[in-house]
Order: sequence, then C-alpha cells, then structure tokens
Amino acid sequence: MMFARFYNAALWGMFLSVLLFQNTWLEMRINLGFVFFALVLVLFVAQVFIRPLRRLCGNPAVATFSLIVVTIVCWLMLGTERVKIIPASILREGLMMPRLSFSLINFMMDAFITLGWLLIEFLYRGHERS
Amino acid sequence: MKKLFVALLLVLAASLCYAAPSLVVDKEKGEIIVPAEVNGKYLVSPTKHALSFIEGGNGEKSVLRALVSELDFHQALLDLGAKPGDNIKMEDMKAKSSKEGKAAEGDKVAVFLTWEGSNGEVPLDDAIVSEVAGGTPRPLDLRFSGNLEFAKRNRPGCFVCLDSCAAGVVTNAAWPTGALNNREVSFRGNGEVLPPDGTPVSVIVRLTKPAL
Repeated sequence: MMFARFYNAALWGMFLSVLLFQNTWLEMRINLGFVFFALVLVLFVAQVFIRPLRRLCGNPAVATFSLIVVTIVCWLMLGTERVKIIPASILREGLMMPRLSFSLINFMMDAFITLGWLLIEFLYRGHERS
Repeated sequence: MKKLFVALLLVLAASLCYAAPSLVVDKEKGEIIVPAEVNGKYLVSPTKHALSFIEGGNGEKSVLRALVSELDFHQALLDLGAKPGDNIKMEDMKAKSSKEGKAAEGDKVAVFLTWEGSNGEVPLDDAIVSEVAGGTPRPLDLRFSGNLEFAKRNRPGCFVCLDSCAAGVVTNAAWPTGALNNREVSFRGNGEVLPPDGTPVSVIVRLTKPAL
C-alpha cells in the first residue's frame, strides 16, 4: 500500500503548508510550494521506514481519517473563499507555473483526492481477498 | 529531413510572430506603461508587494506580476528625468516600529491600472486594501526610491512596494520601514476592484512632482 502512504503524505504535507502559510513573515520569504514537496517526501519516507507508522499508514481507514481531518481543518483555517485559492496557489508556486489557473489545479487536486481514496479502497479489498 | 525542416520553419515563424511584452515609455506624457497580470493569491492574503517582475525573487509574492524587468523600469524612470531617493538601507528594514523607521524619499509618482473592461484608469490606491491596526488607512505616497544596486545584486524583482523599502524601485513613503514588522498595517489586493487571477493589466506609472 505504497500509494496509501503517498496519499497520506500529500494530504498532511498540504495541511502543514497551509499552516505555515498563515505566518505572513514566512510566506513572504520562502517558496511554500517547495516546502510542500519536501514535506510530502519526508512524510512518505517516514511512513516507509518508521515501523509503527508503516503498519498504521497502509490502512485505508487512516487515508479516510486523513482526508476528513485535513479537509475540515483546512476549511476552518482558511474559510470557504480562501480554501479554493490558497492550497492551489501553494502547489502553483511549487510547480513554478504561475499561469496555471486555480480552477485547473483545484480540478486536479479534487481528482487526486477522490480517485486516490477510491483506489486505496479498491487495492486494499483486493489485497485482503488474496 | 523535410519534415524537420518544415518544423524548424514553423518554430521560426512562430517566434517572429510572438511579440514579447515590453515597457512603453512616453516622455511627452511623462508616463511608463508596464504590462502585468493579476495574482489571485493576494486578493485574499496579505503581502507587501504591489508589483514585482515575474522572474524575480518576489515574482510570485505580489498582487501584480510584471512581465518586464525592474531594471528596465528603473532606467525608464531615469529617462523621464525622475530622481531616485536611495535613502533606505537594509539596516533600516530592521526597525521595530514605524516611529523608529525611515520614510522613502525620491520623486513622487502616481500609479494607475487599466484592463479590458476596467472602465478607465483605476488608481492603485483603490486596488489595494490596507488594514491599519487601531487607525485609519493612509493614501499611498509613492516615491521613486531607486535601490538599483540592491536590485542588480539580489534581483528581487520589486517594482512597487507598499511600504518604505530598500528593495523596490518605487516604494510607499506613507508607511516608514518598521510598520510591517510591528504589524501596524497589512495590505492585500482589492478583490472587489481588481479583475480575477491571471487577467492582463496595464500598470501606468506617471511622474507627478518632485519630492519636497
């Protein structure tokens, strides 16, 4: 369930990046998109190499938990208007593609979140059957 | 081989047809027009940058992204006969409050914006929201600060800063250095005035009168 670990890492990486974004001094000085990609890498590696995390985070229940908690907390932190802009802007800055529209990035993120969760469920059930 | 030749010809034709954005300097009117676009992120989040070069260090930290270099902008202001203040140093940026800080000097400039459907020129003042802690907003007092050496050395890309600053070509004397450190004021783009993210905007910079 490597994909589930990547899925969790992406969600929690975005949560931490949004948290850092709240600090204007920091946001003005660093590329938070790069920080997001670094966080995803660190969190993924931690889930692969730290044994308790490895056992826990391959489970689809953790992916569901991450999805619900990260979505709700980001929405509470940013509000309805900003939640449609800030995560997309962080990703856009990290990709160094300033002309990508927020709507396209949000579409890609929504697709990753939904299809990713379905894929984890599908893979886990297939794995359990075998 | 023939296909490769045709492809190369097409690339060449496309590059000849592509007009790179450039500064327009009108000496008679005493104005410079900078091509730019809106960064929607700062219509909902605070920033100290009104206009920065898209390829500069602060290109993605600004309400408007300029599509031309800040060094060309500096030269254009000199060509119009403007005199830079060059009075703010990096040490001044460490001021803990505006009372300890220094206000930008240099010739006064006024900045306006136009875009498709803007219904005329919109003053930069209307396009920026400033939230003052326990006070009333101050009108922008934009000055040709200069800061060419810093810009050349560090390439921050700063065209217009919303406080007095050691990096911007044009900065705001209404808020001395230290005001942002002390959280006396915060700025963001006005989403009710500015068009959406990515909209091309022309930024018109005009010389008004020399600083007193």
